[in-house]
Amino acid sequence: MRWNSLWILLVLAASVPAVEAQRTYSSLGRAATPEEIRGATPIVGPSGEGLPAGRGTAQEGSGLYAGKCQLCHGPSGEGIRRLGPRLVGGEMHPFATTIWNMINGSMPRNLPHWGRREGTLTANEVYALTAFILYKQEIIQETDVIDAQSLPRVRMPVRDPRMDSWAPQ
Amino acid sequence: MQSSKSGRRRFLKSSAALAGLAAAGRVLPASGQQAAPPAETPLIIPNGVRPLGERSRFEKLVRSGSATSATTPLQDLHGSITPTDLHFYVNHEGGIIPDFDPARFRLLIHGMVERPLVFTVDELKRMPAITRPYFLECGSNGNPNRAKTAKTLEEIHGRTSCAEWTGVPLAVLLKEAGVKDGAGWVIAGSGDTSRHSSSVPMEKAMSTALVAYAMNGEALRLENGYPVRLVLPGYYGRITVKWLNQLRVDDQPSMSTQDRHVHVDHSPAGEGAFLMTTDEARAMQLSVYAKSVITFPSGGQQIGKQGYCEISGLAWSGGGVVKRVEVSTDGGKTWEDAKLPDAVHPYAHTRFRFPWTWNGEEAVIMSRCTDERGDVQALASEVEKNWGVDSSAGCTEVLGEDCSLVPRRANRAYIQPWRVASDGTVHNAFVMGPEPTDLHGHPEAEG
Repeated sequence: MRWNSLWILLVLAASVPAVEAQRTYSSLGRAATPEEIRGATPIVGPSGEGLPAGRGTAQEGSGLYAGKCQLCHGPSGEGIRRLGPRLVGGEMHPFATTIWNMINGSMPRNLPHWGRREGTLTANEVYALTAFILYKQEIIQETDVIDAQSLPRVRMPVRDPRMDSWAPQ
Repeated sequence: MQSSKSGRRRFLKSSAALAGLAAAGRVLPASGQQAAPPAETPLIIPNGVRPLGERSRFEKLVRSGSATSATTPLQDLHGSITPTDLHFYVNHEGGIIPDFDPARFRLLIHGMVERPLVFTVDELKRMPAITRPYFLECGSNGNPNRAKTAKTLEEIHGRTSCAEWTGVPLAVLLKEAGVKDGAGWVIAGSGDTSRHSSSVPMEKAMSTALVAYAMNGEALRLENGYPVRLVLPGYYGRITVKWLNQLRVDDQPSMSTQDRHVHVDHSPAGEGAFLMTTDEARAMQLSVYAKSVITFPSGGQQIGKQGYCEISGLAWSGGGVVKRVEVSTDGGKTWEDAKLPDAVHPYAHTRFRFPWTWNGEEAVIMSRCTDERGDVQALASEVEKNWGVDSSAGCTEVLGEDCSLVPRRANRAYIQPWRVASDGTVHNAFVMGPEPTDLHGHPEAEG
């Protein structure tokens, strides 16, 4: 019995990943927990990795835009000087995920202290607003569904082909 | 001449005639008659320790600007290190600063790594560290739209400073985490109110990138990213994320808000023309070009009178070391080498000095920097030196426009000329060249 217990202990010990052994300064810093990694602010790249569950269309985004965005960006996204830049008809991003990042990370602003994000948009609402802007830019249809799968596949009209490998085709 | 018990009593000479005498008091000339009483100098008599050094009331150095952006009064400074409380800042979030408790702040390293890690500020401070002088510069610094109308050096070029930074090389942290094969980028995230982020090429991350917690010997100031920020020597300020709380290793850049201007550039063909040039050009666009400015005499200042007037200024480059600074005092017709009398550090403001005798006539003076890459500063009007041709540009196919002109000098490192008038006043002599429309349209953009 004793040998069996010892054998079990040895097997268990050998199966624990030697995480700290490969580090040089292992007493400083510790392994991040899955919660900490999940809780990190999403910064989504052209691949779309990290996009949350949810969906939205331009139709759904239209009312949201009027209520939360128009006062700084204008009724048609033309921008209002000193308040909000032009969203429609101006410079374009090579990737639609950039628009999602911008809205999710920093919009809308908490007026009158506009330096602060309100933090009130749901995942669906962020997709809907992203869809709305893409629709106004005449890249998608008003009823196209934008979600974690379709957003990175939106083909922006200005893109150097050398960047194509970053996004799913 | 004697000190009080605490050694803090301060005696000042009351007049030049008392030079050499430490006591403020009356001087009896040899004849024994009393001289006219010298003007009394006010004394500052402390009650105890003076915990923080205080500037004389005669020194009025401050930053200027707004909550969103403050400039360094470069024209009034000496040497090449910016006093910590005069370091410029740009804060796109209306100037709002997160007031982090360093005991609770955490830096998360994750993504394409073997071992995702979390560090406290204390732990970062105990990791192997280096200290280096590095400049920071905002991408809007020297914006020709501002240069056209502004008067002083600070107004045009004040969004750059140079501090001595202490921190952990990012490469050391990434090695602790174990970067996986195929990872080419590090996405840096901020704890600020808009979750600003930027993408750093792995080559930079593994070389000179620094996770800094101190500037000029002490903790970062609030405006400059307390308690931890990223310093990328030679790179534009917007990529050097403040209040750094996340590093995600990835195989692509995130192309987030400020990021999108970093990796793409705007051709003169018109709005919407995004180009990604060669890898080398892309790396170049991330970094500041060779630049220099004359700090004295500069716009708004006054040369007192004819005679010897040493021209002095600062030079720097994202290309590393300043190799050479030349000065012209005849409007750019002829150039002569200036001296670099102090230590020259890579990616740091470098002081240059040029002996000059002002003859009382109008003169246009300017400086020109050459860096170790061979990049030479040019005038804004020298278009042919500011634009190159990238024959591999895919832009023409995508947009159907002639996008053959690719910005080679995408930033604002233009030569800054100053005109010295015959009355000794100094004026901005900047002449505009062709410039793409401003990409940002940000509400707080001041040009």
